Amino acid sequence: MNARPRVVVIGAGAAGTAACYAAHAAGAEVVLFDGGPGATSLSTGAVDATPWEQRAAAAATLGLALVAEPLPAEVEAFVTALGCWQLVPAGGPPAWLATESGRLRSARGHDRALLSLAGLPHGARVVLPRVERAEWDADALARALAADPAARALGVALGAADADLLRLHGEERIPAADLAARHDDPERLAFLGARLERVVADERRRDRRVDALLLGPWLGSREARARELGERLGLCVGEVLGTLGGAPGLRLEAARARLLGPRVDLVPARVRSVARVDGELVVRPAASSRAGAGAPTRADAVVLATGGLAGGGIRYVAAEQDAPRGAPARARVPFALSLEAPVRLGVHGEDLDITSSTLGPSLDEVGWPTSAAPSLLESVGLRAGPHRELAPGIFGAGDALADRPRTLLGAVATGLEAGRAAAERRD
Amino acid sequence: MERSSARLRQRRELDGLRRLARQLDRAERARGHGPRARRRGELRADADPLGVDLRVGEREQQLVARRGPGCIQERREQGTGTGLVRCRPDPVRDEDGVEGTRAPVEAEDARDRTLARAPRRQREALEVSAVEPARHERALDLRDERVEPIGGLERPVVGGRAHAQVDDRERRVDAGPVHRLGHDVGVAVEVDHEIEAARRGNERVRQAQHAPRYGALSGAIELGRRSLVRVRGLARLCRVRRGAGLVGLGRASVIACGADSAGEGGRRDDERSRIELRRARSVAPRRDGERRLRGVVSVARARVPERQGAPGRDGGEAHGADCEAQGGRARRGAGRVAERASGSERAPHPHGHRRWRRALTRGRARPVAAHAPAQGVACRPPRPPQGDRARLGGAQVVRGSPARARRRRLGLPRGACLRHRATATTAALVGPSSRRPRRSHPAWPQAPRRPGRFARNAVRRLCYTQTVKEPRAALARAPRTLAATSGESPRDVDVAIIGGGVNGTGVARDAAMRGLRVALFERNDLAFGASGNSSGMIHGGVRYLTYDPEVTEKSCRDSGHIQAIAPHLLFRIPFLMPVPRRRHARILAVLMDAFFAAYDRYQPLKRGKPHTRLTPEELRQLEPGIEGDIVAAMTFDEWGIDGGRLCAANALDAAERGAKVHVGVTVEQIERDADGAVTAVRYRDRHDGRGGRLTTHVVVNATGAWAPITASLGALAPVHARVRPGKGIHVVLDRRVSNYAVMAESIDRRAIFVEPWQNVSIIGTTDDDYYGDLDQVSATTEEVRYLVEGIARVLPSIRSARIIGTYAGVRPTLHAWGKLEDQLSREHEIIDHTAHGAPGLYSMIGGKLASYRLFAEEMTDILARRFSLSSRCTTHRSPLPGGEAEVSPFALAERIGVDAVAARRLVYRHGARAERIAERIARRPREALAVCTCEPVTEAEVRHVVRHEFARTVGDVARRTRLGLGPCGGVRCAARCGAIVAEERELAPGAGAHQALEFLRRQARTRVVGLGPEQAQQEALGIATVRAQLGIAHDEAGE
Repeated sequence: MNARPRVVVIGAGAAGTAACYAAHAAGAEVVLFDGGPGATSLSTGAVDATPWEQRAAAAATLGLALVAEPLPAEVEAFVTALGCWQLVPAGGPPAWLATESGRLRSARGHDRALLSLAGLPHGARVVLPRVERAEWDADALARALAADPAARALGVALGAADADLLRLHGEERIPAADLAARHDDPERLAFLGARLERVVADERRRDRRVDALLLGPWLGSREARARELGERLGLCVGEVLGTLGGAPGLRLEAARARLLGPRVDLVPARVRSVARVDGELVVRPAASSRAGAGAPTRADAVVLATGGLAGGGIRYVAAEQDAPRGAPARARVPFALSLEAPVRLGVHGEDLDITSSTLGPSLDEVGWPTSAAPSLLESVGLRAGPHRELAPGIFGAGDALADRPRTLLGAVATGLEAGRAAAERRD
Repeated sequence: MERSSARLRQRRELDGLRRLARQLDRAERARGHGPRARRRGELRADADPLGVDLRVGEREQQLVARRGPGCIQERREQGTGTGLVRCRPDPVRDEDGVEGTRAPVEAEDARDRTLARAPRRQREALEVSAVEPARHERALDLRDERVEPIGGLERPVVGGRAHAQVDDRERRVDAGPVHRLGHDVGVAVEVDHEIEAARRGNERVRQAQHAPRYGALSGAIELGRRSLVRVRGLARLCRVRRGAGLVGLGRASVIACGADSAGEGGRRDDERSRIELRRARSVAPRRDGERRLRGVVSVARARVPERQGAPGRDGGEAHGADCEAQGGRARRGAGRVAERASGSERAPHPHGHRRWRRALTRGRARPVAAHAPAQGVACRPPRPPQGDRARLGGAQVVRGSPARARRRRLGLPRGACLRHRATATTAALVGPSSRRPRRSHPAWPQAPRRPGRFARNAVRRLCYTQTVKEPRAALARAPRTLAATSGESPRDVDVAIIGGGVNGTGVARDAAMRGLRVALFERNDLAFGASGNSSGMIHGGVRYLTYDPEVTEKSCRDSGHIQAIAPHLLFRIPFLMPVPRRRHARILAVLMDAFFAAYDRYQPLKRGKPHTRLTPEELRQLEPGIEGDIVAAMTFDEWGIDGGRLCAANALDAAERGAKVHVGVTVEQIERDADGAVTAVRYRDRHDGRGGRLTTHVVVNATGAWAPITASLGALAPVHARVRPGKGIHVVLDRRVSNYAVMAESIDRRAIFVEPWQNVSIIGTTDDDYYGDLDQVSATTEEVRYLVEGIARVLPSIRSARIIGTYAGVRPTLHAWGKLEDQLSREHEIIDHTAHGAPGLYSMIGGKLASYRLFAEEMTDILARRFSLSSRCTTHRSPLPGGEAEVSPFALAERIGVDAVAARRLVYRHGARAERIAERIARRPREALAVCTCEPVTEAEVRHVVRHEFARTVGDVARRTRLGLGPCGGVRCAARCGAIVAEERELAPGAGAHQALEFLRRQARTRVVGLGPEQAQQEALGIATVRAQLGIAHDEAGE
């Protein structure tokens, strides 16, 4: 009845967004089910195509310079359209991000609010204002970062300076993302700018160089305010790479809403099942979803971009959970997709199988990744065929796929591929 | 003729001895050491360090009633019995008036505001809730005492607060659960008590203490005849004690009956169980219920004669006389029923008699005379040396109990082997101060010590004059070879202690206090092994109560000492022990009641509360999550402690008294000279690789499960310091899931428990032989499931509780072949390796957290003798660092500007030393910021433990402060802590990140074995965070 194919994308993270974008571009009518925040919404702001430490280790082993790997053109186009990420040019030096843990790490790209030390001139000095917040020990962080080999290689010095950036009582203990949200207010941002100006002036009065200001992840939750501040101060201003659940994830969500708003039909609901009924795919939202979302949705193709274990797309079901009397109700794989769908889970290139134990597998040895192998918890996912097709008409994207490194650009690439394939699929 | 005159002489001698015993006993009482004096006087003077309860004299029963929030009002009532004074804050309600909900982290602000507004008293109340969630506060409502008059006596109502201290007699006759079940089962209790008295063997004491009970006993018997069923059950219980039926009765019942704790089989032949068994068998017509009843009752009254008669064949006359005495006493006390019983049961059964003798001659029996009355001892032949001693090849083994050590010094019973094996070493060990009288600590309430013990010792001394003469002389003559150190070449230190567990640090402290120059080497970290991975309790050794009450007393007493010296580290853990419905369950409950009543007598030593018996309804009221068909439940009282803090405090004190404490430094070799004597240790720092050599006179191997390995560093065969390593794991839940500790049974009938501990709950524990790498002990999925399934039978909600980690340690139990792990002795011994050709090397084997101080004292006593020191142990009197004074967390919180919860935790960990951290913060207010928010740890505290408490890595800091051990698993704080550690230790910042990664990896490994759905997701997110921040690989920035 509809000339345009109808693609249902389940999951609104990086991969789901990319799938929507690609499917829409390919001419499909797109319905996006958003079941709430996942790994993308919690992301830290570093954007990679391959795990950065693997690239760093490989470069060190081979004695090569670390460079940014080339990306597919469609990925770059998507990132440009999304607008909240900034990629470094392929073949050039990578971005160097300061982490809250006191390390410098390379990245293929980063959230626009983050400060990349790679862009600073040799001999530059980065100042960290002292702020009375638990996670922000400016002196220790400056010391740790300055001692990092990468900082020495970049020729960047770091130092701390007194500042008074908090305005209201209690701001020393609110979550970083809340503080970032306060800086969405232009007046508050102006306050921050004025205080930072004072910091810079103080430093310069003492004949200390200031080339950049490194702050915590506090610069806006709707969009990055770093550039505005930088222009006002005539400096580079940026954030440090924080922990999960900070402001970059919020900014990404805002950017996604801007990108997809006119393009897709967004349903804020979790999906209970995807099934093929009479040759058609039917997506049923969970019963607990809000009004209007309860009706089943028909689809020509479905993209599962539900995320991996971290995002909640895959669940680990310990055998004890449904075993009221000591033995599980039935033998089963302890990992499960968070919705019912005719797909298979796998890991390390094999199907997940029922373990020969009434109480499930032993995770003793595989819980934490080593430098050699990823953790089982990061690797379990859906087993896909060509074009990320899991079953006829069902495609997988992002972290929901097995054995794929959990990187943002990788998720985008698979999402674009799955979205396009879904839109172009003809029965 | 000659023979009979000899008997006559012997009898006269015995009579004289009895008289002497009575005199000594009287003298002892007159000095105020008697049990009654103690009950009346000493306890009254004691201020409870935790302000929980205070026992007062019989004449002033003081009860405290609450009126309004925070208002404590005393109500004085004249009456009999002992009362309790309670000083406790009110139960806390949060702002919605809901009692018992733990404020989530987000609500802390609100709570802080409340705290700031609240009047002082309320703040005190809130303070407690800040530390212990209000749920647990309700748990402590156990202290609430409602007094309702029943039957003309004021007795506490079980449930509201079950355990007012009623005089023993009242408890039996009128109060408590026995009353509820009827006196017939009371028989069992009384009989048991009577056995207890008989076992103690002091005739006079028995008369004094238990004579009133005979009235109760006879009445009980009459009642029992009316309802024979239960008593019959008891009889059956006795009969099957050592058979397969025992399994169905559970361990507690066995303990209660006085058999071994071993469960089935009863390998440890307890004299009492044997006698009872025999008596029960000797009741001929089994079909007749009444006969059975008599059989049981006769256990009480017929056993003493038989025991006296049995061991010595030539003791017949004495035996007869004693029987007469017994009979007379029984008649006086028990009246006609007892008389009737004695009529049928006076003569021991001939078969039983033979069996008894056989057991003795085969050497299978435990030494009867160990607790035997004086008159029995005289007839007992000396015991041949035991097998394990022979195996040790002449090594002088000083067993744990000080009483035994004393006995050995005196060459008295149980020390028979010593008489045969006295060597020069022995002389050195037990020589100089052997006659030192038993030390008592006047500052501390004494145990309900066995009355007349002094007298008994004196009696034994006299009895054994002949046999002991020769070895005593040998002792006097023995050259003090070891002590002759003054002429030796100077050494860097006097003592090098290897092992930074609770024993090692305890010895370091004690030795340093007595003026020795001490160096302590710890390979990993203080409390890295069993000390830091224990159940976190200093329990009173309940399980030893029936067969070795001295160990119980020792444990309780030392637990009390630890409380006195480190009150800030202790917290009360009330235990609930449900009795599930099964065969004999009600009888089992009665026996358990009796058993815990016996334990109650030791509770005052550690300021524990007496036990309570609860009905199922009361149990569910207290702990609503408990499911299953429960017949009854017991409560008893133990104390929790943070083992890591205890070690740190000991090490800190040692260091402040001049000891050198090296953490993260492994000893690679113990050097010995041509004579085999210890000369030095070679060590290497495991962090920076620097090595060195330290000359020493003595090396103490206090490495717990590592002991054989350490011994081998001195070129000794590892078997000379053999332990049987038993791995035990614990599962940590994210919050306190129960109000009380709850006992449960695992699938193989082991006793396991879930206990609220600090701000988490802990499930424990397993006990399995372990042969793996001691540095890498970790729990497995199977072990976690074993524990969770066991607890889930009682608390099914435990399945959905969130496991935030596990920990595992290896117990250094004394080596024994052929025993199940749980049966292994938790005693300790010190091996002097002189016997193995290595003078100056001692190994401390076994032991447990509760008696570490005593173990350390024993070790240091040996050292003191070796170095001819006259100073005595004062570790039980000098407070540990932090225990000197009380610090108000509230004042502290206000002063340093941290929230009350953080201040309370800080004060818990550091006691008075929290002031030093507060000073740091006063100098640098920035350091008040929390590094770890789950377990509030400030930056100042991290810096403090790195600077002053020997922490060298993130993991060390976690053991000192519990940083990173909360629900977040350290994902947020490890890196920051690593940076601080690196800065304090002036390491490269990369090293801090490396340590953080190592800590995270190790912690993740402990969590992954207990994953649930949320934990798995959290774990995956944690991995993502660490990947983003630090990278998983250790690349160039690593070190």
